[in-house]
Amino acid sequence: MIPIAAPMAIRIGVIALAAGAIHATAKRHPLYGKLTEERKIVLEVALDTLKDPSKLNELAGAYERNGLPDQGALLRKRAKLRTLPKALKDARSEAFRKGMGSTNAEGIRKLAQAFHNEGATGAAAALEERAKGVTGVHAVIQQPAAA
Amino acid sequence: MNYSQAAASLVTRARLGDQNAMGTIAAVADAAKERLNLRASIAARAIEQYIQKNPHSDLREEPKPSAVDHIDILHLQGLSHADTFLRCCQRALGAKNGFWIVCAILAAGPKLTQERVDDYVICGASNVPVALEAIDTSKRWQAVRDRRIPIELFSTDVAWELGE
Repeated sequence: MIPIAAPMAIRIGVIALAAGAIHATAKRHPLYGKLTEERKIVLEVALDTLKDPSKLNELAGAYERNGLPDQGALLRKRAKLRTLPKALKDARSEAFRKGMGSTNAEGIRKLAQAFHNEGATGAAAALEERAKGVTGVHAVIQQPAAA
Repeated sequence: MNYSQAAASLVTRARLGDQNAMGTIAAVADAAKERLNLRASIAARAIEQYIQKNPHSDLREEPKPSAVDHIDILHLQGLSHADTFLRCCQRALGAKNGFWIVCAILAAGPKLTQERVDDYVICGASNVPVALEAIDTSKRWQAVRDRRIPIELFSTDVAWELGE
């Protein structure tokens, strides 16, 4: 317990030390920095279903505190999707529409990966499905016709 | 017990005939489908992954053949005809990614007007598993290319992500 009368500098110092101790304890945790199966599932479900930016940021913070900054960054990117500049949103919509009409499977997959890296996992999944179809059609067309 | 361990326990019990476990799995699946809460979605995903990694010995599927073994070019060329499409659907669905191949072909063809869809239905599309779903998906693939049509009609989730 910090006495209320203690100077502000001491109180701040004690709080900082406590925070440091908590951080060090987290770092010593055996699962620190490990993307366990459990954490992977939570991440996937959050990317697929969560739309509330505050919840996404809260979860991002949890991943970051547990030594998983990449996963935290991905969640933060998803949280920001709605607040991006209009020009960027329009450009992404346009790219998505083009991808969904494209017959270049490799290009569609690259676009899907780009959307996924920006936290737009629904768009990425739709493009992946399109790529699967296009790849299959190419495979069939390249097959010599049956005699 | 974490989600993965709980999923393993539930599936094992259900496979041994435990009706409580079966009921719990069904309830979790329903809640996840309705997106009622995040925990249900996580639990459902954990169950799904456990089942995929540990398939039931009696239900272990043979690897699916590639689409090339199942669909021939002659069928693909005739897809604009409803009866040919339905035959192709039945064959394609046995192949890997068959559903998406059918969608890609159908979406590349003429616009899926109500008249064309009606043709498929008259030819018995509703009796062919997932044929109607393939038609619906293909319609959405065709529609999303058109800038005048909001992406929301393709998918509300994608529209949210793209800021519409």
